[in-house]
Amino acid sequence: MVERRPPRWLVIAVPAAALAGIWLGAQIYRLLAGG
Amino acid sequence: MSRTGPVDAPRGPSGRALAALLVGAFLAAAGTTLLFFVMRAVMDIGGSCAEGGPYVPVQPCPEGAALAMPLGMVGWMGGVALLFIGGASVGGAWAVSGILAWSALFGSLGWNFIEYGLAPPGGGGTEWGWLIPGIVFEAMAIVPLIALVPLRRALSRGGATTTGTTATPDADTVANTLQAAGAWLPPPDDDLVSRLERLTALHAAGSLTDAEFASAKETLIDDAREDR
Repeated sequence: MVERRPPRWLVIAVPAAALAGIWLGAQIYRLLAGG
Repeated sequence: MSRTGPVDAPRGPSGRALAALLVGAFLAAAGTTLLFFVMRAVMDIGGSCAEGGPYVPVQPCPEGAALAMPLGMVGWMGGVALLFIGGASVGGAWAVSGILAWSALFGSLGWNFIEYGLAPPGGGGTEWGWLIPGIVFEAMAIVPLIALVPLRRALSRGGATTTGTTATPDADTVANTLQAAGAWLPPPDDDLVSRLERLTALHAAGSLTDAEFASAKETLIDDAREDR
């Protein structure tokens, strides 16, 4: 049977990507707000 | 990339789908963060601002807000689109990961409304004009999460996130739970007959050579025998 199993490392990688996004968003805001 | 045959199993999700999921999570989080901070900056000056146009601005916008606001919105929307596209390809519980981005946005903006509503920057008592939208936003964030609970349970029991448990619900239980949660379900198509039908159609369309067809057919029948 052909299975498409998501890799387990996604459970770590997706939240890590989201955390990196939060960091980037905060940096961009600081830059734009001139702080 | 070398392939062992027309049906090489098991196969993971494509690299593009994984990249879409990761970039989507990154962009949606960055967009949410930008909108969160812009909203706080605007609320700090009373909750509204205007610039440009034929009128004299009564309340100029905080520095950077004019750029950060659209940037955050575009980032968030692009991120959610990628989360849904990537999640649908990766499958399992990842298919609904875009909903988490929705809840994150409304949850964090609702937090701002509630925080500023309870303690307005200009002083004074509770500002109901902010507190009520805060409660509405939090409800908008929480309701999809509540719907996700039965969905996630069903998906993880039937999917790859199961760890060390021997309980495997039958397909009907999973399908019923998903339906109860309002999920769209594709028609069941993984039985041997429909697989063979699809294979035959591919062969008839000329996508598969005779040898490839014969080999794939054999693989399908062998797999079905193993599954039994």
